[in-house]
Amino acid sequence: MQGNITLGFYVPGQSFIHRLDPRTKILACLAMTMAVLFCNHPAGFAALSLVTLLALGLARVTPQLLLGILRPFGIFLVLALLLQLLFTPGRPLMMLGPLQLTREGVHFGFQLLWRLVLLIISGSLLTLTTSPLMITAALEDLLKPFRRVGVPVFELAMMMSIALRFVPTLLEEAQQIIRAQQSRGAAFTRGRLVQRVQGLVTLLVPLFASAFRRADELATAMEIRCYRPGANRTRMHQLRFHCRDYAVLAGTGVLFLIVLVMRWWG
Amino acid sequence: MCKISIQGLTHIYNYGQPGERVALQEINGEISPGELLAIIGPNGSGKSTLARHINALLLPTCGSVTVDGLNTADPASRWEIRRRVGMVLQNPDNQLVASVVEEEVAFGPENLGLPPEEVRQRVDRALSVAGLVEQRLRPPHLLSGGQKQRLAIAGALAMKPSCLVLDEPTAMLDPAGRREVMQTLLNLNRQDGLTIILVTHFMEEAVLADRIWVLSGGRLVMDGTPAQVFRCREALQKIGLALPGPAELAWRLRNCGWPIPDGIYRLEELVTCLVDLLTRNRSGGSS
Amino acid sequence: MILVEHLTHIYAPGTPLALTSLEDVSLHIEEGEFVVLAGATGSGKSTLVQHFNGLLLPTAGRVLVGGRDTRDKKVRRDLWRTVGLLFQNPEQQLFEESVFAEVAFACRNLGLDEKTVAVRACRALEMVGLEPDRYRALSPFALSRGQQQLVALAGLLAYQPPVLVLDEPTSGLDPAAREHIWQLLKKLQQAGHTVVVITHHMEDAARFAGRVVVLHRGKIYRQGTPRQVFSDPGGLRAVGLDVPMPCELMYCLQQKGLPVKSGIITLDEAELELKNLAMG
Repeated sequence: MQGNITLGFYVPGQSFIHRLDPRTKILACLAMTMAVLFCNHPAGFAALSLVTLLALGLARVTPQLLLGILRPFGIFLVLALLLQLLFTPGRPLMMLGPLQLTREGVHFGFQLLWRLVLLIISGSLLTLTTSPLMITAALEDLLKPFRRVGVPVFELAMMMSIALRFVPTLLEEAQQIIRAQQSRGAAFTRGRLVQRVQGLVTLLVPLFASAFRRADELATAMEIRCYRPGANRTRMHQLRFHCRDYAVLAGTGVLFLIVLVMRWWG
Repeated sequence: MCKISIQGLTHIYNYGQPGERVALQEINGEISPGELLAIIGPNGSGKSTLARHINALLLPTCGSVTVDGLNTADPASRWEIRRRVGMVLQNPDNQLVASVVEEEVAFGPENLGLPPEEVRQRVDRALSVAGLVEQRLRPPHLLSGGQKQRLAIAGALAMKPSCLVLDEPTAMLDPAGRREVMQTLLNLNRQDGLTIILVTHFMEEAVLADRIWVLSGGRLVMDGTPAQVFRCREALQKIGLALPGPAELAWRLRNCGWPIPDGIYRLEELVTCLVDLLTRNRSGGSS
Repeated sequence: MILVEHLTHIYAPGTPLALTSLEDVSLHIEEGEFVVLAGATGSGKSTLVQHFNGLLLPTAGRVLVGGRDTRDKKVRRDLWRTVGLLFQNPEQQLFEESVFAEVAFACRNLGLDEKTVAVRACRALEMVGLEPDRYRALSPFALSRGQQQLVALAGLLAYQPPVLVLDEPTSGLDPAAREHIWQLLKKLQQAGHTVVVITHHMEDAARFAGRVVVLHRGKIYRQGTPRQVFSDPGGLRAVGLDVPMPCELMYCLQQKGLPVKSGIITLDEAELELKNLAMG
């Protein structure tokens, strides 16, 4: 999948956002997500957009990269917008054949679109600037309290980071298999339904076989280096909150509160 | 200090079940500290199976494998054995756990529960030995094949092993990548005295070893220095292996009556020998 | 047969990750030729061969197969019938429940009747050295990696495309199996097939190829008969390739002042030349 920026894609760097503690980033991302979901006031959206823009700048995300992040979600975004536009009842603006465009539809449609864009960006900012292993470390730390009630937090976190690490690999492999099968005349995008389904089989069977093979080999590679579920691991990078972390946490916390206040008392 | 001793090792996959398959039969041998041992053999001869016994990834059906006196079959010593015997697998993509080079190297020491400063030290040292200091913050999937394998080697080195087992580490690399990896291994062996066990199907790599084991059909059929092993052209050919180019040419010429000594298998040796012969011959002829 | 004109290929053009994989490559592969493509990882070999059967389309320039442009949709759809491409690590494409079905897959896609399919599949298995009666009913997933590679190769041979393109067909195979495959490809070439092989094994390239094309960073770096291409060991090593051992040996002898003929690339030639030299 050369050229496609996929979910969980990590770009190493030394920007302000990169250097934040991963726990800060996870919490801030969570706060942003909630704020975006609760927000219903134009001023709130403006504030959230500004903060997102600031974060993008601090993370040194170029406009092209931003476009690359959003592109895979393109169809989904357009679809969401269209559904809202065309199927929200209310005061009609204009008729499009049997469908009607309403004032409310336009309002909710663009609000939804903007929400989704903000969500995608804040989620991507987390994965773009934080390596999966650091996310794992942070989750482990944040979820530590749950260990007392018997949740295997460390193992779950490790599973997640490995899943993220293998997303690009498997996507690339899927593309390779599709090409290999096309080279022997398999049909993926043409022919009758039966042929297309058969085409899918020629992709899925090898993909699963390979995923299992990889999983097996990775398990071996981890075992070789003494990975033991349940054993006490240490970390090279100790997580430590700095001033900047407190500042970011306080900032997003305040933003979150403002959004809440605007929703219920504004 | 890594002495590996293998006694009467037999391995049977699916033992006592349908689909039972004998992979190794009655292997006996010792590997001394600081040795560079190459294991060669045709596809399916049991090379990988043997390699996986040395760090307790597989356990013998019969017989025993000991590392510094620790038996691999003893669950109590398994993790100590894995620490002492590092391993690198064939496919560079499937054995990398992390998304950043230095986190990849740190994975092993972190599993050992070492303090962060110690992990940091080991990571820096391993990266400099493998020549990857400049790449330390890059994602592994952007490295070249040779670099990925050197990263896997660095990951193993960070455990401070005394022995490194490599299972066809160069099979998926291009010639440049192969040279990089082999140079790293030679340095580790010659300078740091690391014991190295290299499973390979490239004769050009086996030539660099101190000793060669030849496997065929799960049996250890030859054990000797490269000179000794490459003397047995017919036996090697019978099990599907070919001599390294220089040895093959030396054999052919010897067969035509050229006075080329036995046991020549390196290009440099052959060149010296031929230069010697031909100049003597020419000056003899002209006088 | 295959005409490549000023081919440029850029992955993900217009994005920050744009990567020029091939740059202004022109190449003409004649019918019945045996061509070896060599080059370090990332030199663009795999990208180039995927243009031959229309999997990839040129960003600039064009590729003609049998005189027809691969950009033409109708041409592209049936191109696989003319140009059979075997990917690197072909064991990753296996999916059928039996070796026979796997080998027959492409034949069936051609629309042949079952009887012809069966005959061809069995012949192909024989050709790669897998005994049909012993292997046909087995699951391909139960075989070793080397055998899986052979099964994938048989699947290609069974449908008999006029052009065979193989991406590192011998990687991971032992010397005996490797030799077998090269001999087989040579035989197919003599039977009229056009053969294109990507490989790092320069000794094999020297023995079997009619022409060697070396790619470096997306451009053609050297091209010609093995003799011409291997006459410059330093240049090849600089782009990450090996030189066949006999070449290297002769080069060393020359350096030592012996009057060795240049252009020697195989072991047989080296042996002969040394004997000539000894005779004076």
